[in-house]
Amino acid sequence: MSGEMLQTLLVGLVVLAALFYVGRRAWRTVLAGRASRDGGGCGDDCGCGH
Amino acid sequence: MTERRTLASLAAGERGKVMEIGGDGDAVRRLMDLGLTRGTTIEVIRRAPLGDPMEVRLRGFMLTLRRSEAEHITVE
Amino acid sequence: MDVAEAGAIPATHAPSPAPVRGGGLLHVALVGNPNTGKSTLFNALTGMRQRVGNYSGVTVERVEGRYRDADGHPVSVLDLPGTYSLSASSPDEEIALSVLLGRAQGVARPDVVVVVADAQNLERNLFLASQVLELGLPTVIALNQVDAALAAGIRVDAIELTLELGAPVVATVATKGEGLELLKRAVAKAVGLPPAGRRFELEPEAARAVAPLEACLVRGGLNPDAAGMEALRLLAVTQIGPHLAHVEGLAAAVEAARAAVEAAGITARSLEAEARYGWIAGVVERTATQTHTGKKTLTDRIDAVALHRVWGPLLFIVLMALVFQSIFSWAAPLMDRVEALFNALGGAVGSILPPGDLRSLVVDGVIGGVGSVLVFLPQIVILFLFIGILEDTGYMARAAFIMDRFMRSVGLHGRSFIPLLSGYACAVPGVMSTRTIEAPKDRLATIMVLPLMSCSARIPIYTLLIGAFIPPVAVAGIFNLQGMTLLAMYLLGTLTALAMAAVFKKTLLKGRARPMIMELPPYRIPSPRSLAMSVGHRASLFLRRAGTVILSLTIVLWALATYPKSHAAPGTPPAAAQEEQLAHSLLGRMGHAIEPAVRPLGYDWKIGVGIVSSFAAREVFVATMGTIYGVGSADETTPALRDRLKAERHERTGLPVYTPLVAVGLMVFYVYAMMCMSTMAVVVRETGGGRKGMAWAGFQFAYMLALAYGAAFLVYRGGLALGFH
Repeated sequence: MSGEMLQTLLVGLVVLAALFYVGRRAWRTVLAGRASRDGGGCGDDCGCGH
Repeated sequence: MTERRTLASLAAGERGKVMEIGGDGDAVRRLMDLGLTRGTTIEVIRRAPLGDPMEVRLRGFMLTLRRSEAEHITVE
Repeated sequence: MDVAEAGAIPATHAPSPAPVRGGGLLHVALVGNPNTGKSTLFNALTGMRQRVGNYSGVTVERVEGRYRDADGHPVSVLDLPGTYSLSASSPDEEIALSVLLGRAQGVARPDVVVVVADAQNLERNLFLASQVLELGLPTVIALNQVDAALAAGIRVDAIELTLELGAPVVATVATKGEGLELLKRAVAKAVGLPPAGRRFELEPEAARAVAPLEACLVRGGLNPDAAGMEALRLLAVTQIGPHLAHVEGLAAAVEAARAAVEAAGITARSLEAEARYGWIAGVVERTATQTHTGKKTLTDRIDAVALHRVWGPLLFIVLMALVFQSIFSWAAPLMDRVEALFNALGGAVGSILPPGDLRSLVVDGVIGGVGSVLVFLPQIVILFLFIGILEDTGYMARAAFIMDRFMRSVGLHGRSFIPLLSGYACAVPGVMSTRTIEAPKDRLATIMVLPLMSCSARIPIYTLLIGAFIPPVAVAGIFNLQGMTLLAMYLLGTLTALAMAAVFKKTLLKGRARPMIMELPPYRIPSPRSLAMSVGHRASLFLRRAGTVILSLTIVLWALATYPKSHAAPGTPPAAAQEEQLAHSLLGRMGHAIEPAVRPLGYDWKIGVGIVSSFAAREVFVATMGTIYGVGSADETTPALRDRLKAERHERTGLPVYTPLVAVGLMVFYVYAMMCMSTMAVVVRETGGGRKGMAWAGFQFAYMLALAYGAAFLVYRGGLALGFH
């Protein structure tokens, strides 16, 4: 594998990871909303660190 | 016999003994929980720079309340 | 200073030997009035081993920590929200009561309750204590701030008080760490002790009238002690809390009890307060002595100024200006250093990696992305430090007192003022600090308008555009047109925020004005350790998560701007090649796609790209502009970027793209537009999380975008009509 292909591969992985992370965060907030009765509260983690 | 007035009408520095607590709802309950019961002495310290709310001394501590809440409290 | 030994229990309660916990986790809950130093005590007990989260279903902070007692057994401490009573009229009080009754979801019922009482305000604090003592849980009283009490001439006999209350009383000074070991020992011993129960008796008629209600509650599962407490409490409340929803026939029983009490000639709703305080008066008389010093306390003397008709507001303005100023000017050198650090890091890494996509990703994407987040840190730290100081010293209550009248004229509460002010630095901590606002509708309204307060992220944009397009001419002798434009932008945001708050409160979020019944605590010197811990805690949370979210977004944006790649002909100069690359990439195509939408505002597709890219974080706009105009890593002071902007011409018409009018319109757009992923995330969480939170955040985004577009349109078209260009 050439150096350039390796680079592209690494870059692709990182970008995919970032996309996945953002998507997972969004999904978890939606999920938290559906799960609890009154659609509120996030337990320990609402995906924003506060 | 000393006259009855509302807490709202007291001036800064005046004191009164609580006679009746009128009004309804959460504000009244909150005031009672804080110690505003019949027979308690309450002292008006000052009003806010813009006129409202007012600061009073009750059972040794300072409390703020608005005119609209103080209007329901009768003192003498 | 005497710290009384805990342990003298009245002979009527035969104590059983303390059971061995067997290494299991002991659950302790801390309750107490606000301003009793409860948090300081909590911090002193648990140190850095704390966890902050949420109770499910409500936006009440859940603070837990741990310590090891003298025997090495682990103890978990839950710091319940400060409450004046268990009357459950606010979410905070409701949670405290639910947890103590063992009815809170996901929270273990505490094994021991520690009531933190302020020795300076014994009467009022004993109200809560008397309620807690009736819950049937082993209870310890931590009599805190005895040093301040002594200074005020108040001496409390802890041993006498123990006998009166039927629960061990330990004198503590949390800020100095005194009495803590005794407290821990008292907690460990308390596990085996029988609960104190009610220490006074109701009048026979009242007791008779309330008995059926107590029976109803016992049938619903409460133990007899707690039933007694709840029965008294229910006589005065306006609604039955959710934690009692499962008790059958409760509403009817409460009505019946009220009627019976009234029939006996007693006012139902004041029964609890009068009964408890009647008992408390006797207790205080027997256990505490007050030597009136006659001279005014320090608090009174400070308040004579702080709450003065004239000096009060003046002092307030000076303090606010100081906070404001410090957030900008003191943070600035720190921010510059952080930025310089990241630039250096970028340069270093850039020289190591071979040219190509990976390097671009790491240097422009990762390092640039993380840097843009860390730049916020000094401001966050300074802001939280000031808020912490203002709160812990007790000044915050005075500020709310002064501002209440004014806030009410726009339908808000005095307490909204400080969070709104924090918005000038950054909306994120501002939104978080709205937790001090009790009324949910007031809190929501404050959150909804907070981002309109021009946060510091807008400064790079203002600086760039003002520097490039507003001439530095003097106005009326001393004022500078540039400075005034900046001020105008701030005023615009602030006034709109207040106006929108008024609108919301009259329409969507209409609600009755919540009472402004608030304690003005005595001034005190905040504990530096406690302050440092809470500031450090917030800072680390912010860093950890905001860094991950913004980092990921920057990576995604980078990808959007880099792919698909264009392949420029070999001879093209780098600036033109970059431009072509941008036009060809996804981000560029998005810019072209929205160009028709922004053209009425006077923008071209490149500005469109800038706007699109900055949806996640405003400052990205400046960096993007730098990239687009091929100036490498630009910041707002780079003269090259300013000149490039001035020189830019429309392809077809040859007219300048950027004119003062366009610049002002663009700034107005940024005054209003909600373009901050971090803020949106916090708003989602603080407005209830999940679907509800997202709905509110979505609404906020939409209305602010509408404002932005409308205002920018008005400015541009209006300006054209008036003859500007």
